[in-house]
Amino acid sequence: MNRPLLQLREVELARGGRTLCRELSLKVESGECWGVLGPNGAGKSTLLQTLAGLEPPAAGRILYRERPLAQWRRKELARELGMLFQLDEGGFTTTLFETVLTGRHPHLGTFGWETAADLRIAWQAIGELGLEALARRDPATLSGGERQRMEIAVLLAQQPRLALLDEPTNHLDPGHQVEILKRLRHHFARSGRALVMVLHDINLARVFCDHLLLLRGDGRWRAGEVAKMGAPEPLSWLYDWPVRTVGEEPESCLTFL
Amino acid sequence: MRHPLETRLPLLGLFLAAALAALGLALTLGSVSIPPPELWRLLWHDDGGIHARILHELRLPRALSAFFIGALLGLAGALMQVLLRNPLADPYVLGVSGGAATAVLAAMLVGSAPVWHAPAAFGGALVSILLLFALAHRDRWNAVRLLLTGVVLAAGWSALIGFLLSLAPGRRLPGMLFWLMGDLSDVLDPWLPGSILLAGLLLALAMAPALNLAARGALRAQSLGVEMGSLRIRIYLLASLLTAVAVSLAGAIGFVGLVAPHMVRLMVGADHRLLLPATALAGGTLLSLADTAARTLVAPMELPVGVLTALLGVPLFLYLLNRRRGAGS
Repeated sequence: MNRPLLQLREVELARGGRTLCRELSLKVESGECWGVLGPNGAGKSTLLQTLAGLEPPAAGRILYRERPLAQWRRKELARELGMLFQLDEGGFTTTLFETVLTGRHPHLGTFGWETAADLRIAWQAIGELGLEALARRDPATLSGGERQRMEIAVLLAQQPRLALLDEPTNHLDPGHQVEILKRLRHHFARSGRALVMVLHDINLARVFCDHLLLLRGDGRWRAGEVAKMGAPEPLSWLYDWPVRTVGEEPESCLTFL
Repeated sequence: MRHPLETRLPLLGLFLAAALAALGLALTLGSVSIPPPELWRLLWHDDGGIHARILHELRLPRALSAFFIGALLGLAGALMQVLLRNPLADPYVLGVSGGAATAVLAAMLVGSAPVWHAPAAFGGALVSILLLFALAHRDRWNAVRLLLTGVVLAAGWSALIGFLLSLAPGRRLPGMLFWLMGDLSDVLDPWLPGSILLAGLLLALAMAPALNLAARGALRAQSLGVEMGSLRIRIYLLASLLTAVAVSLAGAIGFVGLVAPHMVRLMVGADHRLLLPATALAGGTLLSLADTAARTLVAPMELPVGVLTALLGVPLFLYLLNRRRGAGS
Protein backbone atom coordinates (compact mmCIF):
# COMPACT_ATOMS: atom_id res chain seq x y z
CA MET A 1 0.00 0.00 0.00
CA ASN A 2 1.42 3.35 -1.07
CA ARG A 3 1.63 5.99 1.61
CA PRO A 4 0.47 9.39 0.33
CA LEU A 5 3.27 11.93 -0.11
CA LEU A 6 1.15 14.90 0.82
CA GLN A 7 -2.09 15.10 2.77
CA LEU A 8 -4.22 18.18 3.30
CA ARG A 9 -6.83 18.04 6.04
CA GLU A 10 -9.46 20.77 6.07
CA VAL A 11 -6.94 23.40 5.08
CA GLU A 12 -8.09 26.99 4.88
CA LEU A 13 -6.19 29.56 2.85
CA ALA A 14 -6.56 33.28 3.37
CA ARG A 15 -4.84 36.36 2.09
CA GLY A 16 -5.41 39.95 3.11
CA GLY A 17 -8.32 38.98 5.37
CA ARG A 18 -10.13 37.19 2.53
CA THR A 19 -10.78 33.45 2.68
CA LEU A 20 -9.64 31.95 -0.62
CA CYS A 21 -10.30 28.32 0.06
CA ARG A 22 -12.23 26.49 2.78
CA GLU A 23 -11.80 22.97 4.20
CA LEU A 24 -9.54 21.75 1.45
CA SER A 25 -8.81 18.05 1.90
CA LEU A 26 -6.90 15.96 -0.58
CA LYS A 27 -4.09 13.45 -0.95
CA VAL A 28 -1.23 13.55 -3.40
CA GLU A 29 0.03 10.01 -3.96
CA SER A 30 3.40 9.14 -5.40
CA GLY A 31 3.39 8.99 -9.19
CA GLU A 32 0.67 11.60 -9.53
CA CYS A 33 0.72 14.82 -11.49
CA TRP A 34 -1.64 17.48 -10.18
CA GLY A 35 -2.66 20.63 -11.97
CA VAL A 36 -4.05 23.61 -10.07
CA LEU A 37 -6.41 25.81 -12.06
CA GLY A 38 -8.28 28.92 -11.10
CA PRO A 39 -8.92 32.56 -11.91
CA ASN A 40 -6.43 35.31 -11.02
CA GLY A 41 -6.07 35.85 -7.28
CA ALA A 42 -7.77 32.55 -6.42
CA GLY A 43 -4.91 31.58 -4.11
CA LYS A 44 -2.97 29.25 -6.38
CA SER A 45 0.44 30.68 -5.47
CA THR A 46 -0.61 30.94 -1.83
CA LEU A 47 -1.52 27.26 -1.91
CA LEU A 48 1.89 26.27 -3.32
CA GLN A 49 3.77 28.38 -0.78
CA THR A 50 1.68 26.87 1.99
CA LEU A 51 2.39 23.36 0.70
CA ALA A 52 6.11 24.23 0.59
CA GLY A 53 5.94 25.18 4.27
CA LEU A 54 6.82 28.79 3.51
CA GLU A 55 3.69 30.09 5.21
CA PRO A 56 1.29 28.38 7.61
CA PRO A 57 -2.29 27.68 6.53
CA ALA A 58 -5.02 29.82 8.12
CA ALA A 59 -6.48 26.59 9.49
CA GLY A 60 -6.18 22.85 9.03
CA ARG A 61 -3.28 20.43 8.85
CA ILE A 62 -0.76 19.53 6.17
CA LEU A 63 1.19 16.29 6.43
CA TYR A 64 4.19 15.51 4.29
CA ARG A 65 4.99 11.79 4.36
CA GLU A 66 2.63 11.50 7.33
CA ARG A 67 4.56 14.04 9.39
CA PRO A 68 3.21 17.57 9.96
CA LEU A 69 4.93 20.00 7.64
CA ALA A 70 5.87 22.35 10.47
CA GLN A 71 7.87 19.59 12.16
CA TRP A 72 10.28 19.20 9.27
CA ARG A 73 13.62 20.96 9.50
CA ARG A 74 14.20 23.32 6.57
CA LYS A 75 17.20 21.53 5.16
CA GLU A 76 15.62 18.13 5.59
CA LEU A 77 12.46 19.33 3.86
CA ALA A 78 14.48 20.88 1.02
CA ARG A 79 15.79 17.42 0.13
CA GLU A 80 12.19 16.22 -0.18
CA LEU A 81 10.25 19.11 -1.55
CA GLY A 82 11.24 21.60 -4.21
CA MET A 83 9.51 24.68 -5.47
CA LEU A 84 9.62 26.66 -8.69
CA PHE A 85 8.77 30.31 -8.07
CA GLN A 86 7.59 32.91 -10.51
CA LEU A 87 10.50 34.93 -11.83
CA ASP A 88 11.61 38.02 -9.96
CA GLU A 89 14.13 40.77 -10.51
CA GLY A 90 17.17 41.66 -8.51
CA GLY A 91 20.04 39.77 -7.05
CA PHE A 92 23.70 40.00 -7.87
CA THR A 93 25.79 39.27 -10.91
CA THR A 94 26.53 35.57 -11.11
CA THR A 95 26.50 32.82 -13.72
CA LEU A 96 23.79 30.40 -14.82
CA PHE A 97 25.94 27.44 -13.80
CA GLU A 98 26.44 28.76 -10.28
CA THR A 99 22.74 29.50 -9.97
CA VAL A 100 21.83 25.94 -10.94
CA LEU A 101 24.45 24.72 -8.49
CA THR A 102 22.53 26.42 -5.64
CA GLY A 103 19.96 23.64 -6.14
CA ARG A 104 22.48 21.29 -4.53
CA HIS A 105 22.53 23.28 -1.28
CA PRO A 106 20.22 20.95 0.69
CA HIS A 107 22.55 18.05 -0.10
CA LEU A 108 25.83 19.74 0.88
CA GLY A 109 27.83 18.56 3.86
CA THR A 110 29.08 20.66 6.77
CA PHE A 111 31.74 22.54 4.80
CA GLY A 112 29.24 23.57 2.18
CA TRP A 113 31.48 22.72 -0.74
CA GLU A 114 30.03 21.01 -3.81
CA THR A 115 31.52 17.65 -4.70
CA ALA A 116 32.22 16.31 -8.19
CA ALA A 117 28.88 14.51 -7.99
CA ASP A 118 27.06 17.78 -7.26
CA LEU A 119 28.75 19.43 -10.23
CA ARG A 120 27.76 16.51 -12.45
CA ILE A 121 24.13 16.64 -11.35
CA ALA A 122 23.94 20.40 -11.94
CA TRP A 123 25.56 20.04 -15.34
CA GLN A 124 23.15 17.26 -16.26
CA ALA A 125 20.17 19.45 -15.33
CA ILE A 126 21.58 22.24 -17.51
CA GLY A 127 22.00 19.77 -20.36
CA GLU A 128 18.45 18.50 -20.02
CA LEU A 129 17.10 21.98 -20.48
CA GLY A 130 19.43 22.75 -23.36
CA LEU A 131 21.21 25.55 -21.54
CA GLU A 132 24.84 24.41 -22.00
CA ALA A 133 25.73 27.31 -24.27
CA LEU A 134 24.46 29.78 -21.66
CA ALA A 135 26.21 28.25 -18.64
CA ARG A 136 28.65 31.12 -18.18
CA ARG A 137 26.13 33.89 -18.80
CA ASP A 138 24.77 36.21 -16.11
CA PRO A 139 21.10 35.23 -15.60
CA ALA A 140 20.15 38.93 -15.67
CA THR A 141 21.16 39.02 -19.34
CA LEU A 142 18.98 36.03 -20.31
CA SER A 143 15.51 36.22 -21.81
CA GLY A 144 12.47 35.40 -19.69
CA GLY A 145 12.12 31.96 -21.24
CA GLU A 146 15.79 31.16 -20.72
CA ARG A 147 15.59 32.21 -17.10
CA GLN A 148 12.49 30.11 -16.59
CA ARG A 149 14.36 27.09 -17.96
CA MET A 150 17.27 27.93 -15.65
CA GLU A 151 14.91 27.93 -12.65
CA ILE A 152 13.60 24.52 -13.73
CA ALA A 153 17.21 23.32 -13.97
CA VAL A 154 17.74 24.48 -10.35
CA LEU A 155 14.75 22.37 -9.35
CA LEU A 156 16.03 19.32 -11.24
CA ALA A 157 19.44 19.74 -9.59
CA GLN A 158 17.71 19.83 -6.21
CA GLN A 159 16.20 16.39 -6.95
CA PRO A 160 13.20 16.69 -4.66
CA ARG A 161 10.60 13.95 -4.25
CA LEU A 162 7.70 16.38 -4.60
CA ALA A 163 7.92 19.32 -7.00
CA LEU A 164 5.66 22.34 -6.57
CA LEU A 165 5.65 24.53 -9.65
CA ASP A 166 4.16 27.98 -9.98
CA GLU A 167 3.35 28.42 -13.65
CA PRO A 168 6.26 26.43 -15.08
CA THR A 169 5.29 27.32 -18.65
CA ASN A 170 5.41 31.07 -18.07
CA HIS A 171 7.62 32.97 -20.53
CA LEU A 172 8.08 29.83 -22.64
CA ASP A 173 7.22 29.54 -26.31
CA PRO A 174 4.62 26.82 -27.15
CA GLY A 175 7.28 24.33 -28.26
CA HIS A 176 9.24 24.68 -25.04
CA GLN A 177 6.02 24.55 -22.99
CA VAL A 178 5.22 21.07 -24.23
CA GLU A 179 8.80 19.88 -24.06
CA ILE A 180 9.31 21.09 -20.51
CA LEU A 181 6.05 19.69 -19.20
CA LYS A 182 7.02 16.35 -20.70
CA ARG A 183 10.37 16.49 -18.96
CA LEU A 184 8.84 17.46 -15.64
CA ARG A 185 6.32 14.66 -15.90
CA HIS A 186 9.09 12.23 -16.83
CA HIS A 187 11.09 13.31 -13.76
CA PHE A 188 8.41 13.56 -11.15
CA ALA A 189 5.25 11.69 -12.15
CA ARG A 190 6.67 8.29 -11.36
CA SER A 191 6.96 5.95 -8.45
CA GLY A 192 8.15 7.69 -5.31
CA ARG A 193 7.74 11.18 -6.74
CA ALA A 194 4.95 13.57 -7.61
CA LEU A 195 4.31 17.06 -8.87
CA VAL A 196 1.78 19.78 -8.25
CA MET A 197 1.74 22.66 -10.69
CA VAL A 198 -0.21 25.83 -11.19
CA LEU A 199 -1.17 26.23 -14.83
CA HIS A 200 -3.12 28.81 -16.75
CA ASP A 201 -3.54 26.81 -19.91
CA ILE A 202 -6.52 24.43 -19.60
CA ASN A 203 -5.33 22.45 -22.60
CA LEU A 204 -1.88 21.79 -21.17
CA ALA A 205 -3.42 20.89 -17.83
CA ARG A 206 -5.79 18.37 -19.46
CA VAL A 207 -3.00 16.78 -21.47
CA PHE A 208 -0.27 16.60 -18.86
CA CYS A 209 -2.01 16.23 -15.50
CA ASP A 210 -3.79 13.18 -14.17
CA HIS A 211 -5.53 15.11 -11.38
CA LEU A 212 -6.88 18.62 -11.21
CA LEU A 213 -7.60 20.96 -8.31
CA LEU A 214 -9.97 23.77 -9.18
CA LEU A 215 -9.77 26.82 -6.91
CA ARG A 216 -12.44 29.46 -7.38
CA GLY A 217 -11.00 31.89 -4.86
CA ASP A 218 -14.32 32.35 -3.01
CA GLY A 219 -13.72 29.45 -0.63
CA ARG A 220 -15.10 26.78 -2.96
CA TRP A 221 -12.95 24.13 -4.62
CA ARG A 222 -13.24 20.85 -6.49
CA ALA A 223 -10.63 18.17 -6.97
CA GLY A 224 -10.37 14.85 -8.72
CA GLU A 225 -9.18 12.95 -11.74
CA VAL A 226 -8.65 14.89 -14.92
CA ALA A 227 -11.35 12.94 -16.76
CA LYS A 228 -13.94 14.38 -14.38
CA MET A 229 -12.48 17.77 -13.51
CA GLY A 230 -11.23 18.58 -16.99
CA ALA A 231 -14.76 18.40 -18.40
CA PRO A 232 -16.77 21.42 -19.62
CA GLU A 233 -19.08 21.53 -16.58
CA PRO A 234 -16.49 21.90 -13.77
CA LEU A 235 -14.37 24.26 -15.87
CA SER A 236 -17.37 26.47 -16.67
CA TRP A 237 -18.15 26.48 -12.92
CA LEU A 238 -14.52 27.42 -12.19
CA TYR A 239 -14.20 30.37 -14.53
CA ASP A 240 -17.83 31.51 -14.54
CA TRP A 241 -17.63 31.34 -18.30
CA PRO A 242 -18.93 28.70 -20.71
CA VAL A 243 -16.22 26.20 -21.64
CA ARG A 244 -16.58 23.49 -24.27
CA THR A 245 -14.27 20.94 -25.87
CA VAL A 246 -13.49 20.81 -29.57
CA GLY A 247 -12.19 17.32 -30.19
CA GLU A 248 -9.16 15.44 -28.96
CA GLU A 249 -5.71 16.90 -28.36
CA PRO A 250 -2.87 14.50 -29.05
CA GLU A 251 0.07 15.72 -26.98
CA SER A 252 2.52 15.13 -29.79
CA CYS A 253 1.42 18.23 -31.65
CA LEU A 254 0.27 21.72 -30.83
CA THR A 255 -3.39 22.59 -31.28
CA PHE A 256 -4.81 26.01 -31.84
CA LEU A 257 -8.17 27.45 -32.64
CA MET B 1 33.49 19.54 -14.89
CA ARG B 2 35.48 21.91 -12.69
CA HIS B 3 34.18 23.75 -9.68
CA PRO B 4 33.36 27.33 -10.72
CA LEU B 5 35.48 28.69 -7.88
CA GLU B 6 38.53 26.66 -8.83
CA THR B 7 39.56 29.01 -11.60
CA ARG B 8 38.87 32.12 -9.52
CA LEU B 9 40.56 31.08 -6.30
CA PRO B 10 44.00 32.31 -7.49
CA LEU B 11 42.52 35.83 -7.66
CA LEU B 12 42.61 35.80 -3.88
CA GLY B 13 46.41 35.85 -4.23
CA LEU B 14 46.09 38.99 -6.31
CA PHE B 15 44.06 40.69 -3.58
CA LEU B 16 46.60 39.56 -1.00
CA ALA B 17 49.45 40.99 -3.08
CA ALA B 18 47.60 44.30 -3.42
CA ALA B 19 47.03 44.35 0.34
CA LEU B 20 50.72 43.78 1.07
CA ALA B 21 51.71 46.45 -1.45
CA ALA B 22 49.33 48.96 0.16
CA LEU B 23 50.69 48.14 3.62
CA GLY B 24 54.25 48.50 2.31
CA LEU B 25 53.39 51.89 0.86
CA ALA B 26 51.81 52.99 4.15
CA LEU B 27 55.00 52.05 6.01
CA THR B 28 57.31 53.72 3.50
CA LEU B 29 55.61 57.06 3.02
CA GLY B 30 55.24 59.88 5.50
CA SER B 31 57.07 62.93 6.83
CA VAL B 32 60.16 60.73 6.92
CA SER B 33 60.28 58.27 4.07
CA ILE B 34 61.81 54.92 4.85
CA PRO B 35 63.14 53.23 1.69
CA PRO B 36 61.93 49.66 1.15
CA PRO B 37 65.27 47.84 1.77
CA GLU B 38 65.67 49.62 5.12
CA LEU B 39 62.00 49.07 5.87
CA TRP B 40 62.39 45.34 5.37
CA ARG B 41 65.43 45.20 7.65
CA LEU B 42 63.88 47.36 10.39
CA LEU B 43 60.68 45.35 10.30
CA TRP B 44 62.49 42.31 11.64
CA HIS B 45 65.40 43.98 13.51
CA ASP B 46 64.42 46.90 15.70
CA ASP B 47 67.78 48.73 15.93
CA GLY B 48 66.40 51.36 18.30
CA GLY B 49 67.08 54.19 15.80
CA ILE B 50 64.65 56.95 14.96
CA HIS B 51 63.41 55.18 11.81
CA ALA B 52 62.81 52.00 13.71
CA ARG B 53 60.84 53.88 16.35
CA ILE B 54 58.73 55.67 13.77
CA LEU B 55 58.08 52.35 12.11
CA HIS B 56 57.27 50.26 15.16
CA GLU B 57 55.57 52.82 17.34
CA LEU B 58 53.68 54.88 14.80
CA ARG B 59 53.41 53.59 11.27
CA LEU B 60 53.05 49.86 11.76
CA PRO B 61 50.21 50.06 14.33
CA ARG B 62 48.45 52.73 12.30
CA ALA B 63 48.86 50.94 8.97
CA LEU B 64 47.57 47.68 10.44
CA SER B 65 44.68 49.42 12.18
CA ALA B 66 43.68 51.20 8.98
CA PHE B 67 43.86 47.91 7.12
CA PHE B 68 41.79 45.99 9.68
CA ILE B 69 39.19 48.74 9.98
CA GLY B 70 38.85 48.92 6.20
CA ALA B 71 38.43 45.15 6.12
CA LEU B 72 35.74 45.33 8.83
CA LEU B 73 33.83 47.96 6.86
CA GLY B 74 34.13 46.03 3.60
CA LEU B 75 32.85 42.88 5.26
CA ALA B 76 29.99 44.75 6.96
CA GLY B 77 29.02 46.22 3.60
CA ALA B 78 29.05 42.82 1.88
CA LEU B 79 26.85 41.35 4.64
CA MET B 80 24.36 44.21 4.54
CA GLN B 81 24.15 43.89 0.78
CA VAL B 82 22.96 40.29 1.08
CA LEU B 83 20.65 41.10 3.96
CA LEU B 84 18.97 43.81 1.92
CA ARG B 85 19.58 42.13 -1.46
CA ASN B 86 20.91 45.37 -2.80
CA PRO B 87 24.44 46.27 -3.94
CA LEU B 88 23.89 49.86 -2.79
CA ALA B 89 23.75 48.91 0.88
CA ASP B 90 26.59 50.32 2.93
CA PRO B 91 26.76 50.89 6.69
CA TYR B 92 27.43 54.59 6.19
CA VAL B 93 24.85 55.34 3.49
CA LEU B 94 22.09 53.51 5.36
CA GLY B 95 22.72 55.25 8.66
CA VAL B 96 24.16 52.29 10.58
CA SER B 97 27.45 54.09 11.08
CA GLY B 98 25.47 57.18 12.07
CA GLY B 99 23.63 55.23 14.76
CA ALA B 100 26.92 53.89 16.08
CA ALA B 101 28.53 57.33 15.98
CA THR B 102 25.62 58.93 17.81
CA ALA B 103 25.89 56.36 20.57
CA VAL B 104 29.65 56.86 20.88
CA LEU B 105 29.31 60.66 21.01
CA ALA B 106 26.63 60.33 23.68
CA ALA B 107 28.98 58.09 25.64
CA MET B 108 31.81 60.62 25.19
CA LEU B 109 29.55 63.42 26.32
CA VAL B 110 28.62 61.74 29.58
CA GLY B 111 32.33 61.16 30.08
CA SER B 112 32.37 57.37 29.97
CA ALA B 113 35.68 55.56 29.59
CA PRO B 114 36.82 54.64 26.04
CA VAL B 115 36.21 50.93 26.78
CA TRP B 116 32.50 51.67 26.58
CA HIS B 117 32.73 53.21 23.13
CA ALA B 118 32.62 49.90 21.28
CA PRO B 119 29.60 48.48 23.19
CA ALA B 120 27.79 51.81 22.79
CA ALA B 121 28.55 51.76 19.05
CA PHE B 122 27.23 48.20 18.82
CA GLY B 123 23.98 49.23 20.47
CA GLY B 124 23.63 52.25 18.17
CA ALA B 125 24.36 50.21 15.05
CA LEU B 126 21.90 47.51 16.07
CA VAL B 127 19.12 50.00 16.74
CA SER B 128 19.75 51.63 13.39
CA ILE B 129 19.77 48.41 11.38
CA LEU B 130 16.60 47.16 13.11
CA LEU B 131 14.84 50.45 12.41
CA LEU B 132 15.89 50.23 8.79
CA PHE B 133 14.63 46.69 8.51
CA ALA B 134 11.33 47.40 10.24
CA LEU B 135 10.63 50.47 8.14
CA ALA B 136 11.80 49.32 4.73
CA HIS B 137 11.05 45.61 4.45
CA ARG B 138 7.56 46.03 3.07
CA ASP B 139 7.36 46.43 -0.67
CA ARG B 140 9.80 43.52 -1.18
CA TRP B 141 12.93 45.57 -0.53
CA ASN B 142 12.21 48.12 -3.18
CA ALA B 143 15.62 49.78 -3.71
CA VAL B 144 14.29 53.32 -3.72
CA ARG B 145 12.29 52.86 -0.53
CA LEU B 146 15.23 51.22 1.18
CA LEU B 147 17.66 53.95 0.24
CA LEU B 148 15.24 56.70 1.18
CA THR B 149 14.64 55.10 4.55
CA GLY B 150 18.37 54.66 5.14
CA VAL B 151 19.20 58.18 4.03
CA VAL B 152 16.48 59.67 6.23
CA LEU B 153 17.71 57.61 9.17
CA ALA B 154 21.23 58.86 8.49
CA ALA B 155 19.90 62.42 8.42
CA GLY B 156 18.14 61.80 11.73
CA TRP B 157 21.34 60.51 13.30
CA SER B 158 23.32 63.45 11.99
CA ALA B 159 20.77 65.84 13.51
CA LEU B 160 21.21 64.04 16.83
CA ILE B 161 24.97 64.25 16.36
CA GLY B 162 24.67 68.00 15.78
CA PHE B 163 22.63 68.27 18.95
CA LEU B 164 25.21 66.32 20.96
CA LEU B 165 28.07 68.38 19.53
CA SER B 166 26.35 71.62 20.45
CA LEU B 167 26.17 70.38 24.03
CA ALA B 168 29.86 69.43 24.06
CA PRO B 169 32.39 71.63 25.87
CA GLY B 170 34.39 73.77 23.41
CA ARG B 171 37.82 72.28 24.09
CA ARG B 172 36.71 68.77 23.15
CA LEU B 173 34.85 69.82 20.03
CA PRO B 174 37.73 69.65 17.47
CA GLY B 175 38.67 66.14 18.57
CA MET B 176 35.07 64.94 18.40
CA LEU B 177 34.58 66.50 14.98
CA PHE B 178 37.73 64.96 13.60
CA TRP B 179 36.78 61.56 14.99
CA LEU B 180 33.38 61.93 13.42
CA MET B 181 34.75 62.53 9.93
CA GLY B 182 36.81 59.40 10.17
CA ASP B 183 40.18 59.65 11.83
CA LEU B 184 42.81 57.00 12.20
CA SER B 185 45.49 59.08 13.92
CA ASP B 186 44.50 57.93 17.41
CA VAL B 187 44.12 54.25 16.68
CA LEU B 188 47.34 52.70 17.84
CA ASP B 189 46.31 49.25 18.88
CA PRO B 190 45.63 46.98 15.92
CA TRP B 191 44.80 43.94 18.05
CA LEU B 192 41.15 44.74 18.73
CA PRO B 193 40.14 45.35 15.10
CA GLY B 194 42.42 42.51 13.98
CA SER B 195 40.93 39.90 16.27
CA ILE B 196 37.34 41.03 15.62
CA LEU B 197 38.08 40.88 11.91
CA LEU B 198 39.40 37.34 12.11
CA ALA B 199 36.46 36.14 14.19
CA GLY B 200 33.97 38.01 11.98
CA LEU B 201 35.45 36.60 8.80
CA LEU B 202 35.28 33.05 10.12
CA LEU B 203 31.67 33.49 11.24
CA ALA B 204 30.76 35.03 7.90
CA LEU B 205 32.48 32.25 5.97
CA ALA B 206 30.49 29.68 7.89
CA MET B 207 27.34 31.37 6.59
CA ALA B 208 28.67 31.80 3.04
CA PRO B 209 26.72 29.00 1.30
CA ALA B 210 23.49 30.23 2.91
CA LEU B 211 24.35 33.80 1.92
CA ASN B 212 24.64 32.72 -1.71
CA LEU B 213 21.04 31.51 -1.54
CA ALA B 214 19.77 34.47 0.48
CA ALA B 215 21.06 36.71 -2.31
CA ARG B 216 18.44 35.05 -4.55
CA GLY B 217 15.58 36.00 -2.26
CA ALA B 218 14.20 34.81 1.06
CA LEU B 219 11.57 32.40 -0.29
CA ARG B 220 13.95 30.74 -2.72
CA ALA B 221 16.56 30.40 0.01
CA GLN B 222 14.02 28.86 2.39
CA SER B 223 12.81 26.39 -0.19
CA LEU B 224 16.44 25.31 -0.64
CA GLY B 225 16.87 24.67 3.06
CA VAL B 226 18.05 27.97 4.55
CA GLU B 227 16.50 28.95 7.88
CA MET B 228 16.08 32.62 6.91
CA GLY B 229 14.88 33.85 10.30
CA SER B 230 18.00 32.82 12.15
CA LEU B 231 20.26 33.70 9.23
CA ARG B 232 18.90 37.25 9.20
CA ILE B 233 19.51 37.65 12.90
CA ARG B 234 23.07 36.39 12.54
CA ILE B 235 23.74 38.80 9.68
CA TYR B 236 22.20 41.71 11.67
CA LEU B 237 24.37 41.01 14.67
CA LEU B 238 27.56 40.42 12.74
CA ALA B 239 27.18 43.45 10.44
CA SER B 240 26.36 45.63 13.45
CA LEU B 241 29.35 44.32 15.39
CA LEU B 242 31.79 44.88 12.52
CA THR B 243 30.46 48.39 11.85
CA ALA B 244 30.46 49.22 15.55
CA VAL B 245 34.08 48.21 16.10
CA ALA B 246 35.18 50.21 13.05
CA VAL B 247 33.15 53.28 14.03
CA SER B 248 34.12 53.26 17.70
CA LEU B 249 37.81 53.19 16.75
CA ALA B 250 37.91 55.43 13.73
CA GLY B 251 34.65 57.35 13.43
CA ALA B 252 32.19 57.23 10.59
CA ILE B 253 34.26 56.34 7.53
CA GLY B 254 31.90 56.01 4.60
CA PHE B 255 31.70 54.06 1.37
CA VAL B 256 34.42 51.45 1.98
CA GLY B 257 31.57 48.97 2.48
CA LEU B 258 30.16 50.01 -0.88
CA VAL B 259 33.31 50.25 -2.99
CA ALA B 260 35.12 47.12 -1.79
CA PRO B 261 32.37 44.52 -2.42
CA HIS B 262 31.56 46.15 -5.75
CA MET B 263 35.17 45.92 -6.98
CA VAL B 264 35.44 42.36 -5.76
CA ARG B 265 32.19 41.24 -7.38
CA LEU B 266 33.38 42.52 -10.73
CA MET B 267 36.52 40.40 -10.42
CA VAL B 268 35.60 37.20 -8.58
CA GLY B 269 31.82 36.96 -8.96
CA ALA B 270 29.13 36.76 -6.32
CA ASP B 271 29.96 33.51 -4.51
CA HIS B 272 30.39 34.56 -0.90
CA ARG B 273 32.90 31.84 -0.14
CA LEU B 274 35.33 33.84 -2.25
CA LEU B 275 33.66 37.24 -2.10
CA LEU B 276 33.93 37.62 1.68
CA PRO B 277 37.68 37.06 2.13
CA ALA B 278 38.44 39.03 -1.04
CA THR B 279 36.23 41.90 0.18
CA ALA B 280 38.04 41.97 3.51
CA LEU B 281 41.37 42.24 1.69
CA ALA B 282 40.04 44.86 -0.73
CA GLY B 283 38.45 46.95 2.04
CA GLY B 284 41.71 46.86 3.98
CA THR B 285 43.73 47.81 0.91
CA LEU B 286 41.38 50.65 0.11
CA LEU B 287 41.40 52.22 3.56
CA SER B 288 45.13 51.67 3.88
CA LEU B 289 45.73 53.59 0.64
CA ALA B 290 43.23 56.28 1.62
CA ASP B 291 44.89 56.73 4.99
CA THR B 292 48.33 56.97 3.41
CA ALA B 293 46.98 59.63 1.07
CA ALA B 294 45.28 61.44 3.97
CA ARG B 295 48.59 61.55 5.85
CA THR B 296 50.77 62.65 2.96
CA LEU B 297 48.74 64.73 0.49
CA VAL B 298 48.77 67.95 2.52
CA ALA B 299 51.57 67.07 4.95
CA PRO B 300 52.36 68.16 7.58
CA MET B 301 48.59 68.53 7.98
CA GLU B 302 46.30 65.49 7.89
CA LEU B 303 43.02 65.11 6.09
CA PRO B 304 40.23 63.13 7.74
CA VAL B 305 40.34 59.82 5.88
CA GLY B 306 36.52 59.72 5.69
CA VAL B 307 36.64 62.72 3.38
CA LEU B 308 38.81 60.82 0.92
CA THR B 309 36.74 57.64 0.97
CA ALA B 310 33.61 59.73 0.37
CA LEU B 311 35.23 61.46 -2.59
CA LEU B 312 35.85 58.02 -4.06
CA GLY B 313 32.58 56.43 -2.97
CA VAL B 314 30.02 59.06 -3.92
CA PRO B 315 30.67 58.92 -7.69
CA LEU B 316 30.57 55.11 -7.61
CA PHE B 317 27.33 55.15 -5.63
CA LEU B 318 25.70 57.52 -8.12
CA TYR B 319 26.93 55.40 -11.01
CA LEU B 320 25.47 52.24 -9.47
CA LEU B 321 22.18 53.94 -8.72
CA ASN B 322 21.95 55.20 -12.27
CA ARG B 323 22.81 51.85 -13.79
CA ARG B 324 20.26 50.05 -11.63
CA ARG B 325 17.52 52.38 -12.68
CA GLY B 326 18.46 51.72 -16.31
CA ALA B 327 18.35 47.98 -15.77
CA GLY B 328 15.14 48.05 -13.75
CA SER B 329 12.95 49.81 -16.27
